[in-house]
Amino acid sequence: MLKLKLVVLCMLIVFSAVDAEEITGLDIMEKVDNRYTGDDQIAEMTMTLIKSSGRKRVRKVKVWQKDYGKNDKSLMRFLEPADVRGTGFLVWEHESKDDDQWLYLPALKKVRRISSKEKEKSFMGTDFSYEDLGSHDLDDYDYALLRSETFNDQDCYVIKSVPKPEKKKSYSKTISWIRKDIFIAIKIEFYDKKGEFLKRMHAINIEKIDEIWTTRRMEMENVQKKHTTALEFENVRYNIGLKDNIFTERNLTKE
Amino acid sequence: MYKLFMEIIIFLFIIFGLAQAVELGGFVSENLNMRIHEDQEFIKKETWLRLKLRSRMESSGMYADIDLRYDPLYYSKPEIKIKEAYVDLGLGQFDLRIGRQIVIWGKADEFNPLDFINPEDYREFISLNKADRKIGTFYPKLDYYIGNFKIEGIFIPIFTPSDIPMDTSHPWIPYQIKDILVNSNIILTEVQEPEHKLENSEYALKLGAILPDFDFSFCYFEGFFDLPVMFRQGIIPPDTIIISPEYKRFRAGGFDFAATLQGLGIRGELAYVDTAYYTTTDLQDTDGIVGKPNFSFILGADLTFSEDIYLNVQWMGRYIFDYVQGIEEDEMENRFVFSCYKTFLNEELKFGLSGMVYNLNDQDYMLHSYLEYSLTDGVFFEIGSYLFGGEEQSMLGQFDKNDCLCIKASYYF
Repeated sequence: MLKLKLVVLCMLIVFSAVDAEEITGLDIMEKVDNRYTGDDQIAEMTMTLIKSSGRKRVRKVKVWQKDYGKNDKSLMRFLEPADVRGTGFLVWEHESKDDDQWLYLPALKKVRRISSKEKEKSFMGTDFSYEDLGSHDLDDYDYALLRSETFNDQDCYVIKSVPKPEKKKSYSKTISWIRKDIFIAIKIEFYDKKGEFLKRMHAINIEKIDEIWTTRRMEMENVQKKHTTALEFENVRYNIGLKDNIFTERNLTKE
Repeated sequence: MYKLFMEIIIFLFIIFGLAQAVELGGFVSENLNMRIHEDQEFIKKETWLRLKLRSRMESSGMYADIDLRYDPLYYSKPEIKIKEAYVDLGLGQFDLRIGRQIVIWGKADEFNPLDFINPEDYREFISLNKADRKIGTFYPKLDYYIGNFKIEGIFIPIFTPSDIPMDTSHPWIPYQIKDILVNSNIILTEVQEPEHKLENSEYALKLGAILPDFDFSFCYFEGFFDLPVMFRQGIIPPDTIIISPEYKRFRAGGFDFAATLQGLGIRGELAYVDTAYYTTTDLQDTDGIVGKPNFSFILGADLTFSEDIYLNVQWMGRYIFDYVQGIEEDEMENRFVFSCYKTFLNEELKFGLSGMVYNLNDQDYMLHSYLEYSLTDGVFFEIGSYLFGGEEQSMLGQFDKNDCLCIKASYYF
């Protein structure tokens, strides 16, 4: 679900030169999907919500994530704003069925199992939905390589992703600009179910941390709502050797 | 013992505070409730400051919630209370929490048949969430973890009763209490709390787990009802009745679960109480009370729609075993609770509606609507209303005169 490695489009895989004439849209997205993002990660994520008037609101969370093959686990602890401080969010991700998710609300003194079906829902009021921040099954989409072009001085593949008719998704299509050298998306355009242009994401600051390419800052602009969210990662660390007991009810309730 | 423990906790907070290892947070809020009917008088004018102190080191830590509340309608001076103050110690597979604390059992929302542990403050009948209505009490709690399974043990050495309003002018005084207090033919004796003896301690044990697709727990409790049973002790001729309140002991066990199914969150609880006490109109019954086992349950579902709409519906029931004619409550009671809200403007604005039908037979209900706006991070304004209805002598209908408008401003820091 919400985990560093899946903050889509942000990570790199080491990739040898590929002949652009032969490669397909699916090949490219497989390269993006199969990237190595470490066995586990810790980071602090700051989300700045920016209204068209310029007014800002800030949300901060700390994230722990561990790769269990195809069943990853993650824990988030809300740091800001003050009214949600201490709230915990635990996710056990599953490839072939719905994720297990629990929320710990200090004000209610309870661990609450919640449904993972609300993929279209905004994450903490930001312009990122749970679907944007979650994992994606490559088989859910059809891909087409539209062209190659330069964007922000980077050579990119431009890929169109359309959900397969039987798959229920939030968007009718997305257009992604994938950097050819490191196979990270640096721009994505999202189109709503009516086919109207909805929002665009820009990856702004990409750098190597612990030998893993990492997107440090990205911005999502919802052009229909005229609202933007800037997402920044700080104190990112990989391969720390996180213990399994971090991703348990016991740890979830420790404010 | 208790005072010594609190002094130790405060001392530790000072030491850790000096070492800058204490996080300080909390909120301040202003709450105004004004009756809609009659003379439109205020029934709440409260200023509330909560300080949250927290210090955590690896698997151990300290935590305190301190409330300063002042409502000139009911108190002549501000009331300071330590809501919670405890120490957490992580010892391998064990977690020990000792101090004044609040534990709420049960996986349903707000209404929990399995919630036996802490007493409640019924002076805050409607206006707070359940955790805020709870009264913190002093006890140790030991948790033992085996993978995703957990065994929780609680030993409450000294019983603490719930707070019920005893002032006849209080807006939330139950009619049963008010009738006794205003009736000159009834003498109410002072309630005696159980003696501080080991045999009057309370015990609780829970075995639970969170697993893929399904969470569950089994619970057991032995202790006292938090509200006294109003026994009729005798009659002084010609027509004066002596009512003698007494805290009664009971045993209870139950089960709860939570699961998700096709996007629905599903939760349930059931509880069996070996002896609950009911008022009877049977003239043959000398003390006016009969004790019978009962069975309570709640089953609920919640769903979040894509347009940031949330809906929660719960059905509650209570059945009295070996029911006899004369018991004032129905053999079977059904209650219905719902809550829904929609957020707007990236969650800056929230409109909500919640309600409850306490007893389908009495048709008594409460309806709460509210509009909450977040001016900036941590600053909230809320305007809303509470409406009550139903038969005059029903759980919620009795508060019909308390229909009110509410205004609230909060700042979290």
